[in-house]
Amino acid sequence: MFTTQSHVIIAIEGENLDEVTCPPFTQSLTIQSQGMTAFFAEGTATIFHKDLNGDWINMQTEISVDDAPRFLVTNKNVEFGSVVTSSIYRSIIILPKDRTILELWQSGLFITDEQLEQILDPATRESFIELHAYNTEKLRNGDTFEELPGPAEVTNSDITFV
Amino acid sequence: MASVEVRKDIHSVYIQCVMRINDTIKFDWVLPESYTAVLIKGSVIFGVEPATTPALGLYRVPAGEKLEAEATEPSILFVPFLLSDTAAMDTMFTVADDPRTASDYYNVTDFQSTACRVNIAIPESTGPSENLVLTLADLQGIALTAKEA
Repeated sequence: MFTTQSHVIIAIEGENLDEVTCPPFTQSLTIQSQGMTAFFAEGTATIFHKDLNGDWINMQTEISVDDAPRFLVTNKNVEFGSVVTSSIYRSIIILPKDRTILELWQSGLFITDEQLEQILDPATRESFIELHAYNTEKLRNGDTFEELPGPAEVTNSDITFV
Repeated sequence: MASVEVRKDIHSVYIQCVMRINDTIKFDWVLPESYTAVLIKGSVIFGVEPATTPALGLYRVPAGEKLEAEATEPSILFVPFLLSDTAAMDTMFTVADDPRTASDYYNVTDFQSTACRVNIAIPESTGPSENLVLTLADLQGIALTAKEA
């Protein structure tokens, strides 16, 4: 997760079959009271959402959103997850540098109060600030989204800032 | 050739450039403040940078300079602007194509279940590589088409 001059961008990269694409704090991402915009840039994935009964629903049965590149706008109050089905997967989620919107997402994205002020500080406009960087190995069943045993670790990201 | 689309949500407008290998693209305008181009797929050479930038990569376009990129493999560049960025919006768009007076979303054609809205898959570029100079008139034409769709 990093900042640009005007936005906060959450980059999600996955590799290998059955690896969950979301970082640990958003393995299942609940969309807040406002929708979310994402670009599904590369790869294929099976995308799930949780229904009102708490069951994970494979969205491929409803709509084909599994092949990149694609522009997505999610609705509010929906919980998502995904399982990579290609050797590489890359998507980004885009939030504006807007206090009202970022406060809605703050707890879900583990943005501290200090980081929120840093993001919104006009003095940081020209800085690419990397807020979080996680590298995780999590396994999920590609049909049911059931979590499978596997290792987890946290390391730095691999984003190129020019 | 490179293909350019304009997308929009409730807070931002996005210029999306899908490039073939060896395509170059140049935004033929400058803005009073810097902005960011996000490379979400492939690899490009930005401006006069000596090295190739792979996805995921971010490039700051300095204030008063034009964005230039050359694709070294099939690539997608994505350039977001806030609708509330009055200076950028007023520079890039006219009254007719202004995204600030448009519907909430562009190019979102499907709406199924309760989960999400999606557009049709973004087409990969076809045809020979080319050097595309995207003028403000070009951008405004694309934005107007999206606005009226």
